[in-house]
Order: sequence, then structure tokens, then C-alpha cells
Amino acid sequence: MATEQMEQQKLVKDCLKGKPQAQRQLYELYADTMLGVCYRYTRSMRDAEDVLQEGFVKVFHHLNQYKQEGELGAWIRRIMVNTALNFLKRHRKYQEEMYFTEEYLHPVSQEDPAVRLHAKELADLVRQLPQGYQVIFNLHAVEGFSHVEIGEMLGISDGTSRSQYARARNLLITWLKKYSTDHKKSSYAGK
Amino acid sequence: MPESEFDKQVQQELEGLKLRPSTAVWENVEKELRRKKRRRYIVFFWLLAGLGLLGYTGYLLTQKGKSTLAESSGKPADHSGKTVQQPAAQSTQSDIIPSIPSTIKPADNSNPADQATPLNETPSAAATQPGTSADREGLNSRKSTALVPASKNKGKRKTDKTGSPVAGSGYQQKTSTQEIQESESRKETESKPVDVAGQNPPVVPVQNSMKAKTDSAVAAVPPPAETKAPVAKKQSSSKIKWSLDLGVGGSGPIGSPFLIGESDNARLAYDQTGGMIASPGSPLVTPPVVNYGPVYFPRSDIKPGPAFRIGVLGEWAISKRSSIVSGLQYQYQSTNIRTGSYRNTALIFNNYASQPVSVTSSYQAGLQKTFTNRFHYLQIPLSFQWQVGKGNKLPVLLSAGMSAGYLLSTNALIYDSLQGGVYYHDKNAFNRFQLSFNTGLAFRFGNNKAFQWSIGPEASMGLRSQVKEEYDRKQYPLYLGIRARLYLPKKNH
Repeated sequence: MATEQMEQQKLVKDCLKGKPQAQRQLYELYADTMLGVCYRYTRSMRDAEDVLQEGFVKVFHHLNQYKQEGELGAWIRRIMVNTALNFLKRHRKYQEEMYFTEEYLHPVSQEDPAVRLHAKELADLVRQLPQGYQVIFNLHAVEGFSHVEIGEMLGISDGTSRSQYARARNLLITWLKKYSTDHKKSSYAGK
Repeated sequence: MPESEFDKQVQQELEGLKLRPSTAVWENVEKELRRKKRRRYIVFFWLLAGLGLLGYTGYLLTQKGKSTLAESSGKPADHSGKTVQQPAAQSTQSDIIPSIPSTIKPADNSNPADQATPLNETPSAAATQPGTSADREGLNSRKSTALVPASKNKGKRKTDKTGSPVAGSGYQQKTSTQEIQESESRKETESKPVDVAGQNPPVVPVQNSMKAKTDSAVAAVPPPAETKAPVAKKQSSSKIKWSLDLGVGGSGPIGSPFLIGESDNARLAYDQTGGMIASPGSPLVTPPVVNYGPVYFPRSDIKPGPAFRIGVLGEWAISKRSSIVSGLQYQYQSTNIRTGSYRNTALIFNNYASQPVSVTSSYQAGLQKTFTNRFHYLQIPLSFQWQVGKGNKLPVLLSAGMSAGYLLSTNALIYDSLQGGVYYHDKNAFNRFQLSFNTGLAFRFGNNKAFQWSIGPEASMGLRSQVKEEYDRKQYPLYLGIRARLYLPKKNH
């Protein structure tokens, strides 16, 4: 663990010195995971790659601000999330869908769908949520931000964030149930 | 926060999602990093170049000051560039020319060139070809360096005194005689001392011989200089003209200049917040909606504001009609926007650069009052100036160049669609370094007088966006104004 940390510190130092090899190494280390993050916030792989590119430029540009206290991966992930949000704000096709209405608190469904999906399938399902739901669901359910933090990040109230999350979750559960039913039907038909 | 088994499962699955990006992503990242690095180098290069030029001009200025002191201390300058000692005491003078009758002196005064003529021997050449080419050579050299032979003569006189061979005295006699002879007998007398000089190598010039002629003869000779070097310094330093630079005008941003294309990053969320949309057939307007909600207060237009510039410039002549101009300037630029009421409440949010911003106060967007965005720049200009035409009466000067600037401070506000539209101050939103292209035209007055000044229009445009592209559309500062330059009067030496 200590060796890994030392290697990571050395990698960061080399990147700060502007060594291209170290920059490439850092990119290779985190690119796959970070594209997964960007993919969840966008609608297409092309947009996800655009966010990834912009995010890594920011990572290298602001690497001197990384204090080597927390995990580097978490720091990069935070930058990617912020870059993705920024990307959504800038592009009209996302703006039009990103409309957070002040709503009454929606009850969170306590149901747990008895279906397990792989990461990619689940991500594809999340990406089909309305943009506002998708963002809040990702921020809360995956990134672990509280509704107050999400409210500050998006300039909305924490109640709106809670309500949007509940709706997103319920919608996702409905889809998963439907998916489960369809899957069963198709498997019976197969038999 | 995971609240149930479902939440946990979702978090685990989605956190672990890994996708392989295409190779183009890294290539673009690398390209972007190189571009930023190059841009940084360019800015540093211009700053260093400007500082170097400033240092050099400062050095030249101090050297000019030194040479001025040297000249004013009373050391005479010689156009020939030879080292000249102060004239010897009167006693030495009488020792040197004891035999010169006082009646001769007026004749010497009347024609100092003639005095030098017989002493201007060129030993070997004159010995071999008396009266021919060597003769002409002697005449030529007399014209240019009249003092040299005189000093040689003096050296020979010294050897004479110490009892060296007769040659010296013979030579002395002849030269003394020659001073009062007619020009026909000059060739003869010149050839004679040459033989003697052939035995005695040329002596290091000593200036007493100058006194040895007469005081009036010395006066007739052009003023001697200490060395050649000060003359050169004087010439180079006099090429720099120092001036006070004053400019008054207006400044404002240009959105999409022809120089640099629009990038994807510059397309911002509030493109659509430019105005309210009126519903057809209804007096009501619908605010555009962005991710923060409806924007009731769209961003204000940016109007130009007053600007001025003040500085010190050095003009270094590189030819009769062209020069390089550089110096140090302070520039004030301003723009005006319309804002709403001032709010003294803290705001924490993510700005367009995805960085958390914490502001203690802000302005509600609106059209209630005018707010002036002020920018204070320190600049190092470097431009080429060319005089149109050869006329000296009212020269027209065209100039073009670049200027490296540093944003010292600003109070400018940034718009965000947060909470229906707000303006806030974020110092990180502005690019500190600025590179601008300057051009201008000026008429110079008093060209043949001690006090010169020039006036004319000028324009400068920033080649780098004033606001970082993550925050806003590219805004290139444009300055248009009238420039006046007051040249510092030259000291007469």
C-alpha cells in the first residue's frame, strides 16, 4: 500500500515536471474508470469522450492543486463529474432536458427489484432517464453526494434534489421490473 | 447515499463501470497540453524580450549619463579619436622651441596646417619616394591627422636634449626653417628629415608638441577627444528618444474577432439567456430555462467604457526613418454593464469552470443600475515605427507591434444563470496575461526644436480572451483612442 502510494506520488511529481511518459501513464491508469463516469452523465459515447478529454486536460493543468492527502482517483473523479456537469450546462441538447422544477417531496419506493444487471446495462438504463433525473441520480446514488451538496452544485434546493432522485429511482425500478418480466417471458419462450 | 440493497447494488455496479476510450482522446489531450505549454512560453518570451529591451535601453541611458558627465568635466573631444593629453606647462613649451623667433608665431597662427606639414613625415615611404606618391600621402594624412607628426617631432626634440645623435637636431633645424619657408622648398625639406627618421623609429605621440607650435595654433585645431569610445557611445545613446506616453479613449470587448475562431468550449449555457421570449399574441414573456431554472434576469449587454494609458517609452532609431519603440505602460480599461440590486448574502455554487465558488456578495442581474468593470494592466510594448515620407516638417509616423500585459487587478463581474441570473466577482475568471496587437498613426511636431511631441489615433486589440473560455464567450479587449507623446528634451553637449 505504502509502495503504491509512493509510486503514485512519484507519478504526480513527474507529471508536474511535464514528463510526457508520466502523463501518459497517469492517463492509462484512470482513463477506463473515468470514461465510465463520463458515460453515465452523457447521452453518447462521443460526448463522454469529449468530457473525458476536457477533464484530463484540467487534471494535468490543476495537478499542482492536488494535495496528495486523499486518493488521486477520487480527486480525478471529482474533476470528471464537475467537467461533465459543466459540459451539460454548455450544450443546448442537454440544457433543454435539464429542467428542475420545484416539486413536493416524492416518496422513495422501498421496493427492491429482484434483478441484477451488469454495470454497462445498468448504466445504459440510467442514461435513458430524463437528463435532470439522470444527473441527480448519478450524483446521489453513485457519487454519494448529499442532497444539500447537490443543491449547491446545481443551484437548486435540496428538496428539489430529493424529489428528482425519488422520481428517478422509482422510474428505474419500474423499468427494471419490466425488464425482469420481459426477460422471464423470453426465457420461458426459449424453453 | 445507498439506502437499500438496490442502492448498494447500483452504486457497486456503476462505480466499477470501465470503458476503453478511443486513442484519439489521448492524442487530443496531449495536443491540448502542448498548446497550453507553448502559449505559456510565448507569453514568457514576450515578457523577457520586453524586459531585456527595457534593461538595455536603461543601460544605454545610464551610459549616456556617464558620457555626459565626462564631457562636461572639461576633457576635450578629438574628431580623430586619438588620445590627447593636457597641454604641458609653459616652461616645457619654451624648452621645446627655444629657437623659434616670436615673429614666426603669427605666421603659424594664420596657417596651422602648414605648421603640421613638415612634421608629417612618413619615414620609410618618404625616404624611398620623395616628392611622389609618398608626398601625396603625406599631404593626405596631414589633412586627416594633423597632430600626429607634431608629436613625433616633439619626441625627437627630447632625444635632442638628452644628447642623442645629431640627426635629431638637424631635423629640428630643418623643420624650424621649413615653417617659415615658401611652399616650393617644402619638398626638399621633407625629404631630408626622412633620412633621419629612418634611423629613429617613430616615437609615441606626446602632446606637448601641440603647445610647441603656438597657443593659437592649438585653438585652430578641432577640439580633441579623450578616446574613440566615448564618441561611439555618444552616437548610440543619442539614437534613443525618451518620451512620456499618454493615451485617452474607450475600451470594450469584441465577441468573435476574425483572428481566432470560436471553440466548442466557448458555447455557453447562457447563450439562450439573451432575452425573454414573448408568447405569440400575449404581452407576457416567458423566461428561457436552463439547468438552474428559469432565467428571469438575462445577462446585460457589455457597453464600452473610458480607458486611458500612461507610460514611458524609448524610441531606438534603427535607420533615419524607422525605429523600435518599447517601454513600460499602465493601462486602465473599463466596460459598463447593467445590474440589479446588490445582495449581501453568501452564495456557494459550481461555476462554469466546474470549480466551487464561494462569494460573500453578488448582484442580482437586472437593468436597474450601471456597474463599471475596471481592468488595470501593466504593459510592455514592443513596436516598429516608420516615418512616411522624407519630409522633416511634419513627419507622419506609422507604428505596429505587440504588447505583453499583465492584469494587475479587476473588479469585473461574471454572469451566471444561478438563481434566475446573478453577477459575481471571481478573480480566477480572468486571464492574467494578455498579448495585444497595437497599431497607430501619429503626427510629430517640433521636429527641429528641442521640445517635440506627437499626436494621433491608435488601436490595440487583445489576442487572448479577457475572460477565460470556461466562464464566458471569448471577449477580446479592444482599445481605441488618441495617443500623445511628449519627447523629453535632448541635452545639448
